[in-house]
Amino acid sequence: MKNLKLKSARAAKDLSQQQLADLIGVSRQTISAIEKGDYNPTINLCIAICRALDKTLDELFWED
Amino acid sequence: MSSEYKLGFVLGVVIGLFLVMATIGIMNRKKKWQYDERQKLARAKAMKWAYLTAVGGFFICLIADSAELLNHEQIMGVMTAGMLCSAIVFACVTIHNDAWMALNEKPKSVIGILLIGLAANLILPLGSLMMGEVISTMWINLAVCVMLVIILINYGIRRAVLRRGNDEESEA
Repeated sequence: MKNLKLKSARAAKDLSQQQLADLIGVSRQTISAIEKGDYNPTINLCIAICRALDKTLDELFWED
Repeated sequence: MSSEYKLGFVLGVVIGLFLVMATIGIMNRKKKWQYDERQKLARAKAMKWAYLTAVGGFFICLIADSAELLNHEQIMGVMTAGMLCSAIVFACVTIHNDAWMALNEKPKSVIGILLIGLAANLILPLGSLMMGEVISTMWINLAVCVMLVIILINYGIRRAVLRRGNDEESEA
């Protein structure tokens, strides 16, 4: 399932996939894979993404 | 050609490969390739499939040997082919998961290393053919060439896919 919340949060911060990847120390393809729903990140990576985007885990990764 | 010569030739190839790997390892010691968690996972999966491929090759050799279907040289050939297939599987799986030799960081050096390997493995068989000799083990070098060409083709395909992905992202 696509993670549109992450994509929109990244866009709201005006960050490209590469810029977000550089901020949290992963490859651009990993960010792309998370947004596409091809890869489930570990909790550590989720936290790093949330910190970089000033969001909570619930806001980015919780599905209702 | 005596069996000692063949054994020495194979041993030379193995030692040569070991020296190349050791040199690359020493050169990369200071700047080790950094893989993120997804890439490490992909590499682990690639390693699993490569291992299973190698085991499959050895299993075929075992059956062929016990059933006396192939002679000793042919079994060595199948074993080598199994190992090369294993290397191809590892390279292709990691390439298509962007988890091979920091694909996007230093593509020129990666391609350079592959091309040097390709040239080195072409020199011996082509040289011997030009001298009018046919070395019975030169097919190993040709098989390594085929392996490197397959890896390069996969590398090219992945680069094209990544470039398209970058374009799509910049459009979004």
